[in-house]
Amino acid sequence: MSDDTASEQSAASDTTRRPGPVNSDLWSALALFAIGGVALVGLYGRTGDSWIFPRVITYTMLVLGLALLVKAFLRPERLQIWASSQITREVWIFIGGVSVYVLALRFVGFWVASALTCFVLIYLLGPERTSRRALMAFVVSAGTLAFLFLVFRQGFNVPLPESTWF
Amino acid sequence: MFEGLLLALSPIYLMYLVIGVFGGIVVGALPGLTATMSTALMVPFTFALDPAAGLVLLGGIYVGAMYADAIPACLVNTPGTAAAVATSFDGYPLTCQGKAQHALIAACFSSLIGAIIGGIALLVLSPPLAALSLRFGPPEYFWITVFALTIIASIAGESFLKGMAGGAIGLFLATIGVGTVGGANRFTFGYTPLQAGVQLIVALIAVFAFPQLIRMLEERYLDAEVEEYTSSKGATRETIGALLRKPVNLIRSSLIGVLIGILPGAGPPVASLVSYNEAKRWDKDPSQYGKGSLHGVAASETANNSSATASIIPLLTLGIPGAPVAAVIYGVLLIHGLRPGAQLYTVHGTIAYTFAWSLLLAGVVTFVLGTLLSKPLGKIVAVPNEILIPVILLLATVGSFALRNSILDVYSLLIIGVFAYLLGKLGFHPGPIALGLILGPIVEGGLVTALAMGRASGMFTVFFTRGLSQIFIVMTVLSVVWTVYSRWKVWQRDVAIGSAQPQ
Repeated sequence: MSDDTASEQSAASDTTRRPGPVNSDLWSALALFAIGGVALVGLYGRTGDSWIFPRVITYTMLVLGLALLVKAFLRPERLQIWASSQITREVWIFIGGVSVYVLALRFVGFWVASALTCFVLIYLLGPERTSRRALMAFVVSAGTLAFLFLVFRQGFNVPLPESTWF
Repeated sequence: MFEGLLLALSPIYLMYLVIGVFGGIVVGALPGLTATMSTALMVPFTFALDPAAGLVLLGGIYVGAMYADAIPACLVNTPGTAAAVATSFDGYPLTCQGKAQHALIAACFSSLIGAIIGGIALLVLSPPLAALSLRFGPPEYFWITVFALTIIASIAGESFLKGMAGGAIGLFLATIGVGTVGGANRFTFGYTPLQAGVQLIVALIAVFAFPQLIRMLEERYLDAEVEEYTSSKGATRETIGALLRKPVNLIRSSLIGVLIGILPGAGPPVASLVSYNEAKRWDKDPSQYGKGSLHGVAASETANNSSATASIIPLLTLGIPGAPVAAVIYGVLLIHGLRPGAQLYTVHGTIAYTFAWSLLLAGVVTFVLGTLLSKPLGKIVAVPNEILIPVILLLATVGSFALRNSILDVYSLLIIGVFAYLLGKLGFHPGPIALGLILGPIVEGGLVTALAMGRASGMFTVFFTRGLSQIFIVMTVLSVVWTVYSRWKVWQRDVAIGSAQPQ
């Protein structure tokens, strides 16, 4: 194998940069202004050595936001965020589902929440929804949790989130 | 020294070494479980062993874990620790090209070279390197990390502005919590659990792993990001042959690792990033980097491992633990009645040299085990995404929680992860954000402490008048000038191509 061929397949690993309609520079500038704004609120009235560096970084973020804003109007980089509405929907459902999982950790505990999440994800993300798929999801979920139990609980004695309900 | 080598090569000590390396590889491959954690957990087992055997076991875990953080970095674009961030820049693209095995072999061979050169430095050059490390003060730490921050330019990808912004965001996240200098609560807005700040490992998992999970979800509708894994019989020979064709890269990376490794608080993360940047700068074809270059993986992993070994130098010679694992080893030495420092080599020389030799031999054992495991590990990428996604999610959750037993870290994982995913969609590369997170505390500590020095002496020129600082200032200026010049050349070429195309 020649390492010279490594550069030929660069596009394969960069699925985040597809040309599209969204002015990414404008949204990036707005994100920086939002973070910078929160930081300015936190900096208000603060003095002392602890605040020197955060102040420098906050002003840097705001200046960079301004630079991106100017670029957004002069030479914007337009990107495609999601390739289809189906992907958009699935991504946000996934994020919502993971949020529910993370919040549920405190109430039902790690093992119950993880077993359900693992099973549901394997079953729903698969190409078909059959009883065979459900069985595979059950086996893989059980195996994963058994591995985590042996390594983290028994091996390293790491306590994991416990249920506050039961 | 020779007696130490004979002891390290004895069958029983080799057995401890192999057990330690294997355990280190298993733990290091799990994101969230750090070398420090695994070393600390093994400390009670060393009570029943003689001091040298205990140190050999811990040394094996350390070296094994420093290689193994490259495994998730290459296979699923999730660095196991901060030291493997630069490894993921080229390791994961290699996996995407169906060359996961090549990436892992490059990582373990580079780890071998790094461990050997770091081990030689530890055995032979400890006193002068320790003396050099004492000359580094706050101004030098500030400038070396500013120099490291110029790496942002080379990993920013297409948009330099977004790279800088990502770095600034990472630096900002690193300021949340109690300030290291001054002790004020920063950006906690009255929420007490935030006083501990954002944990670095949690933030790295969030910035790399969470967006990766969602990309794997999207892949089901797009062209596959990862090509089908193909096992190659001659992968080991091919990979090592390719790396040995550029020996300068391996040697330079090892030396960078040693020089940065001796600095307390800097260590493998900084060493791997600086080494990667220098490898790209000096390569005849820097465009390969970030797209699956074996030499990019080698630069990062060689420096990573040589700096890990070199970080033991200030511990053994000066009694200053330069890295978290060194602090654990410091504790083990005290438990066994050994006092780190200059007298360790004179009063307990055999133990000190046995430990030093074991770190070098651990590199060899890591290479053998890593090569044997590369083929089965490479097959992980063939596992369907619908199974990988929930498994990685669970590992990320456990890894985040395990650090401090705090549910806040899991919440941080989710919030930062979603934010990093959306930033990725806007064209931000995760590398600069990670760089800011890693370097933030070091650059701030250097800046504020040097300002205090200037205030005390009445001369703020303390930043510019020290010899070592001047060297780093020159390196920083040259790095910035080189970056601007390289980008200007690319811009000129793009303009020329644009005007040459028919209207």
